[in-house]
Amino acid sequence: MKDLSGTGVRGDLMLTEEMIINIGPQHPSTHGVLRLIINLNGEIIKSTKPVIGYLHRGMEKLAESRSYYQYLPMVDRIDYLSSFFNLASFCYAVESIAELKIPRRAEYIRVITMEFNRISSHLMWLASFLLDLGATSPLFYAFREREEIIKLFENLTGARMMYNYYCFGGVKRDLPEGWIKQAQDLCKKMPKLFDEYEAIITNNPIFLERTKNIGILTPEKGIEYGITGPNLRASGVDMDLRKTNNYSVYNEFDFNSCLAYNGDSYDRYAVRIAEMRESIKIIEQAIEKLPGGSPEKLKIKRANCGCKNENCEYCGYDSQLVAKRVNLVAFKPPKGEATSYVESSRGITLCYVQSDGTQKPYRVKWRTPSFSAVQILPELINNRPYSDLMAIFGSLDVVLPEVDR
Amino acid sequence: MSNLEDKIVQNMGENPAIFGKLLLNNSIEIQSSVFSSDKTEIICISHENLLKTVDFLKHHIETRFDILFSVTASDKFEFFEVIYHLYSSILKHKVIVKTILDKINPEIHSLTGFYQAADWHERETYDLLGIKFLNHPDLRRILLPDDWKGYPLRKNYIMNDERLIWNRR
Amino acid sequence: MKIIFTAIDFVYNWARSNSIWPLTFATSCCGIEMISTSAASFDIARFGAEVFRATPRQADLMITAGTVTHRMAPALVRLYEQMPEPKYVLAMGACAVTGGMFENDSYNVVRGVDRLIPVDVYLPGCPPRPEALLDALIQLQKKIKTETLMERKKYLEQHKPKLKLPDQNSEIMLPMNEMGIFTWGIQPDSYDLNNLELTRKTVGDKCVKFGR
Repeated sequence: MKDLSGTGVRGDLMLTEEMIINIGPQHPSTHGVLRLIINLNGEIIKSTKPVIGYLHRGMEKLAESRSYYQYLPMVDRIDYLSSFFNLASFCYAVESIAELKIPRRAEYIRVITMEFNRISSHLMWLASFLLDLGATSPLFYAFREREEIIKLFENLTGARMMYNYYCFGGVKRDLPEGWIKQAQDLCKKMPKLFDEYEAIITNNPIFLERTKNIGILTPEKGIEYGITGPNLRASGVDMDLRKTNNYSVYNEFDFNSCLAYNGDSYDRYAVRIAEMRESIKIIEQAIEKLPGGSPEKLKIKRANCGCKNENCEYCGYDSQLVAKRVNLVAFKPPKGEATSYVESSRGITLCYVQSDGTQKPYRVKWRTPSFSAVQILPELINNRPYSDLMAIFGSLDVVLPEVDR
Repeated sequence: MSNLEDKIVQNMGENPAIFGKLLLNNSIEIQSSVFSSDKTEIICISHENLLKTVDFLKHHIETRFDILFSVTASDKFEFFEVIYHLYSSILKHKVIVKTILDKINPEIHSLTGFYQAADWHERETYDLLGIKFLNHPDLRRILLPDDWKGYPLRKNYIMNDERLIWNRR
Repeated sequence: MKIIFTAIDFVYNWARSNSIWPLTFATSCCGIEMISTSAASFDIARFGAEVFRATPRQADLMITAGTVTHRMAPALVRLYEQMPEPKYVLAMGACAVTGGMFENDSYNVVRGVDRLIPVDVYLPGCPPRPEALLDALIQLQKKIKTETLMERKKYLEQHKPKLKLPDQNSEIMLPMNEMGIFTWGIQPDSYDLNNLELTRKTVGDKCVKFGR
């Protein structure tokens, strides 16, 4: 027999009634390149072995040969659907090491962009989950909203997908004129548009049959495997980093964290739809309370006021965009290490940076939430029929570049 | 090895904070306890005491660290440094645990008995840095192809795998 | 005779170029822009490429959108070999053209898809806008319209992968002896049912050997 010891496939099963099937790296779902080696007995799945590493680009090693500022555009590409969250976690870690204080206007702009990014990431998840289950029209509905949000981001940063907008100490440039009005109009329109596709999905008998009581994740198992984010909140555990460890300015907003109690695929869907609506609330509050107001108003008031007083609302520290002009070429944070935890759209993203006083980071480590979700997949689909595989895997919201980095 | 320990204690200083004091009161020895740049406590222990320390931290009523966020390692030039990030979903606090390993034969106990999440994280650390975890159920490469030569995240890594022929100019 | 052929060529090429069926090969970020192109705002269906096939046996065009790593390369070449003639490849995004931002010092990225398979159209961008993908598709349609039936052999020879990969990888699906599943292009020499060993020989000696 061929030597199978390094591959993870059980050779003693090759001569039995069970069949080894390979769902290869290229497959019609849109989650990315993941390979599953499945043991099937008829239609029931007996065991699974996920094989990852088809998109391992070496992001952690590349950080060691680039300066901090040169590494920022690469950080976007770790999880391209929530690239503002990755930028935020790297920026918070480096700002902890270098002891930079961020002005409040920059924090508010960061929160607004992060929440819009959460909505667009959940819309992409919705489109691909329902496409895997066989429904093709929610793709077009979800992409209609997603294109609106991406147009907003294109006006702000210049790019459709990989934004590269934050820098150490704040954000790079101010909101353009008319952006706030566009954002407010979009926030008024969106709840009605969400109602449109909830009407065709939420009470749909086919969808209920395929997702109710399927892939139940108990809270104890979720905590053992390190699962965070909407996957864990759908099982009843109230862990939302925006409420518990107040990073950034989230403690000034009034919103609820969304919970469900069954832990099946239907609950994971419901939690994400509810989170989208909560994000709209946060954005509306942030736009109202933005320090300095809209950019047109800020320009006029600054010109009129001109007092250079620290506490003035329009000329003071809090209405600036960047803490102090960081010299990008010779940026040398002191020796130290820091971790930053950010609640991104899939879970908790952890960025651990070690610096040794030179221009380049010494070690960067990314812990991404999809890594744990792929690890728990074999437990959830054990002894289930083959057709439940996509209903469970789609509801876990896995994005493969995040797993492989 | 004691030469290394002296150097570390000199660099970081003796300053046991909350979790460090708790561990010392319950007669588990630690080497030092410092704070990182973002005010998280870092507990440095020796690798023989790892299982006792993690057992205490997971089950004691004042700590209850039930989530292991990540297992990672870093290649300082004279030694390896293994770093564990722990979080408590009940009491909402976090801590970092660090140990130091030899460069010649880096081996440490695996935490798969306590946390199932450690399984794949330790496989990834073995894959990229070559640190062996004892009593791990299935220690093999996860991100790189199975027959890759070398451990990329080490500082003295040379790219000498066969597949790199494809990239020749 | 040649007049008849040019008329047939015109109709044949027109029919082929206006109904290209792409293969979904989205590895990375460019895949999302590919899906955006097929959604309602930038419709790819008006150019005939509405049907994205999941299996290579029914596809004409492979849009390699995304980074290709050393582990993914055997799968890519195998997919290319499984597509039936006439087939085309569109390298989308900076990572597929030259390796992109990982070209300098990444240890696991293949510097451009054209080190593995022959490419017809290159499309730079990181990621390219959906309108740029549509422009590349139109360029490909123009290229198809200039082909002739009389020179089909020349095209067949150009459409071979550049590397034949050795077969002892664990990334390729293991063949089962009793069911007689073979990989395309490679024939078994003999079976020995007592030993259950499969001895095989490769096609010709055009493989690149990797010995040191």
